[in-house]
Amino acid sequence: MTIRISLLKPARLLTALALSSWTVTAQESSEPEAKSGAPAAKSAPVGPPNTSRDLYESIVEIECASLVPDYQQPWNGGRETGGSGTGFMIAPNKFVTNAHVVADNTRLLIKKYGDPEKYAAKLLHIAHDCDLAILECSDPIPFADTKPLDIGDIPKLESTVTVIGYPLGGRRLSTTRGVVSRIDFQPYSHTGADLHLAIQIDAAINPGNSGGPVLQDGKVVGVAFQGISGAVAQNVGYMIPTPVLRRFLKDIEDGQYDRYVDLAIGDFDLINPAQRLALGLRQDSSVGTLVASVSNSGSCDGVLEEGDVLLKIDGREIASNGYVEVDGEFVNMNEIVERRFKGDKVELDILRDGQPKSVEIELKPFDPYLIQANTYDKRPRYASFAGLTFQPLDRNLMTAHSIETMAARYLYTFYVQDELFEERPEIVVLTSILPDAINSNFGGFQHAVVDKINDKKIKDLQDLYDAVHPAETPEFYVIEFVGKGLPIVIESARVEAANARIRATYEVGLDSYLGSAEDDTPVIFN
Amino acid sequence: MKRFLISFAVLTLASAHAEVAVKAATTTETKPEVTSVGDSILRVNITAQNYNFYQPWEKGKPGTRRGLGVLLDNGQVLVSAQMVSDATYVELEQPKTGEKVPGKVSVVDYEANLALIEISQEKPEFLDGVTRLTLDTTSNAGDELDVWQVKDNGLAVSTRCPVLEVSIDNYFLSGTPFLTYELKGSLRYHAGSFVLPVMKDDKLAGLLLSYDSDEQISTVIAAPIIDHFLKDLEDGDYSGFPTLGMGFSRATDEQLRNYLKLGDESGGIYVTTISPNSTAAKAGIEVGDVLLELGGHAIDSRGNYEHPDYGRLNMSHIVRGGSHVGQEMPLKIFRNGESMELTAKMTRRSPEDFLVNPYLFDKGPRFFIAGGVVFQELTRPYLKIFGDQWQQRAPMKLLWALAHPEDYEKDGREKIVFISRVMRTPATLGYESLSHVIVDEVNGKKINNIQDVADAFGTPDGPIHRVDIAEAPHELILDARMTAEMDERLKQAFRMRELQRLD
Repeated sequence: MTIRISLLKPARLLTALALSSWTVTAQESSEPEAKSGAPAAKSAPVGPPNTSRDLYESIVEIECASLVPDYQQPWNGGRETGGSGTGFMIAPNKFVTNAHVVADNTRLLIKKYGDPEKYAAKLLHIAHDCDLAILECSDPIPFADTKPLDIGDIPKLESTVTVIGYPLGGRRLSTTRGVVSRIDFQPYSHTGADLHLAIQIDAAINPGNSGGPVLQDGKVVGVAFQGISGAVAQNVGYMIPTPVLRRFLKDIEDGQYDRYVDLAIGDFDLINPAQRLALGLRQDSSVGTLVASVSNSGSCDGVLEEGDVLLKIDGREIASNGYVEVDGEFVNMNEIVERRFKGDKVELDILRDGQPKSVEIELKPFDPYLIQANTYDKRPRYASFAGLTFQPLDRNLMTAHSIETMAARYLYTFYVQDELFEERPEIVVLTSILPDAINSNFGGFQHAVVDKINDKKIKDLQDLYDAVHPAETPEFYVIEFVGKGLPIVIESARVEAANARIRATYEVGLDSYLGSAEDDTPVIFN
Repeated sequence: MKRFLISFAVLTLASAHAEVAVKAATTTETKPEVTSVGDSILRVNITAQNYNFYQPWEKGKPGTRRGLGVLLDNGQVLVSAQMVSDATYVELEQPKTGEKVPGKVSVVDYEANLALIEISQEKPEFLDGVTRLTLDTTSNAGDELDVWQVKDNGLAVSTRCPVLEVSIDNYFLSGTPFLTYELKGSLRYHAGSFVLPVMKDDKLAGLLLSYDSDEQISTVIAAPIIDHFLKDLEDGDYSGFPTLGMGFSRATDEQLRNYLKLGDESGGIYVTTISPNSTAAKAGIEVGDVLLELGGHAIDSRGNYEHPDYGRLNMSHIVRGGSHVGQEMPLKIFRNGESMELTAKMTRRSPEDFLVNPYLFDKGPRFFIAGGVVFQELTRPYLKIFGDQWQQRAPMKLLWALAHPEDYEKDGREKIVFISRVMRTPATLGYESLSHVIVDEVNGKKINNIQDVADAFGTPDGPIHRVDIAEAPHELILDARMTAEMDERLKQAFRMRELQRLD
């Protein structure tokens, strides 16, 4: 018996896998780029590449300078770093790569096969949840004659594939070869919280291959993206299969990426005979899986109920273990939902209180799980007050601060499962204390979760900011914490001087950053 | 339990360096001598058998412990409680002759880490020639005490160590600090003795709890606590050490004190939690109060008071060392800008009074098995099966219940009943991977303790049992007839004597 929350996987399960990511390139032919509005290359190439040279020219090296945010001292800009991966052309002057190759970027350069130049490039779309991105060269001329690669299908098990890219071990293009080892749902390590179809191959995939194409019969059958590192596994590389790539390309046709949709339910295998009987299911069939939980604000909220039995999804019978038959293969029923888009509908045949019923679900993304996903391309939000730094809890924060307090761990772990997001859309944590006379006795409060300030419940960072910047200044700020009997008390008369002192001493530039669309748009150096 | 093992390991280590240590030490001397004090020491051999919390119908493998006890003037032998925990066979041995008699634990207090052993009635002459000891409760910093051991040949030897400090420390359970002497001096370890009597001249000053060979520091259960333990017994009915049942934090921050309008008051601690039905709750103390005085002693802002003999001590000693269950104690608290006098009638919270038992010895964990579903009452020792890192690794819902019992007590639960595991039988098909889920209801009956589970399974919902749990899938359904059948088979297959332990 397994309990699945659709495609979401608790983050802590994933971290155990020690996946490391790299870049590879993949591409699709003649995929029209609806939104970019970039001028199409003058001499549009016709047909797929037909020589090795043509093929290699469609595969590029991507050099990315990036700014990694500083969650420990969120007022700092962050750490500059860089790396490189691979990409490939899927349409005139449109290159696919992995999201993790270009995440947090401040400068992107493309290098063409056999050409010493580096060309400035621009990120058009990035999909962190499936680790894909698309970019274009600012100057279309260098790639005017380059031919986009065709996108193929899911390769057969045991069939041979070739990985091409720019991995470590040398500066020139590299190719490796292997067979398709396994086709299954896998965690995508870039966010650490997403699970999609992935194909395991035994060709060597190394850092730098990320975002590069995996080819079979001259067509792209996958995008190399991660592997298992260390001594436990050998020759285990993963590629993103073309259904995932195609979905991404279709999603962005309207000019924006809407992310994956999710049923946001938990299901439970219906195997126990007594349980099946009690739910009104026939003993001699193996159809039907139990709805074990329905997340508030998810796609099924208000339509499905706990205790419903799912019988069919879009006319396909759902087995007791939640699998459906697609093209002769048994796959998780979520695979049906995986290929859909925001606003699409699925039909579910259910059994409720023994009565058959048919319901329609309008699909949408489920946001609360993002707390357990690595975040990119966003500046850390925070508020600093009397030397106390408050930040909303998410995976980045847990990692950066090594938070181990019970309340924070509990709220983080059960945020989705117990729908804690209903009560607290954001969990605001006192992450650090910049020592000063005003806060010298507050050491025991580090990593505690803020519950109330002056009796007002703190539901997000904005609430906290407002509570410490009230219209009328109270005599005291009384900050209560989850699971702690003792509050922090700050005399407001001392605050102004302390804030000024602390900001000057510790060089805290802005006293808060609550998030804004403009500020989150990265500064690009091109 | 933990502390016990550590102490033992430390002492074992010490033995390796014993010779060197003795030569290096200048302030201590080890001299074999035959005195009346040494004649009060008996060897105590214990066979102990823990319960298996993972398979609660079983006991673990028996193990043995050897230690020393001293004969008191009440005719019983004093040892530490950790020595006799989960004891199945107790034996006393004359160090010189090796003569042995069976004994019986007559009283044990795991918080104070003290126990008394009674000699078998059949051989009262066993104690002839053994000196009976009285207590000396006057030891203080600077005094010299003798730590006694018995060598393999039966000879009692002592090592003189000065008392460095008298302080408050946990004995072997966490969260129950008591008066402790700290001794300085290297001990030469003699095989088979890890509970050692500590004497002041010819009287008992304490029992050695642990020895750190690096620091050469011994910690000793102090005689005043032993005295309290023995006095408690005088009426023939042991009540145990009283507890306040209250959590507190320091009230040192000036801004907090101004907010609380403490004004000229210089001390006091801030009350953060009150356990239900505790001494503090009954006395009328509330969360947010500041406790200024306890038993006539002013409490400083860190929770200490001035002891007339020992100086600054944690206030827990006022409660544990200075009062008995049933006595009244005056309190002064500060609430809403005013001080108030209250009176507390001292009570003790026994481990059973906690939502999650803080410890469990000498009896097995309560459980109930239905068709292969194993229900248990949550205890702290259960959580400890997750190893040294249990506070990180144990299931978080269960850890939360331990840390925040109020969340569960408020809806009437006496204990947390949870499914510890599901054994694989036809009745439990499909439920095998469930574990550590808290149970809310069985067959429509709210579950407040394990007895409720047993009762509820007596009244199935027609042909099925319904078990409601606090997380997905929320309800388990078991075939009632098959459950009963499987119970019989499990009993047979696993050689279970019973499918339940309800008390």
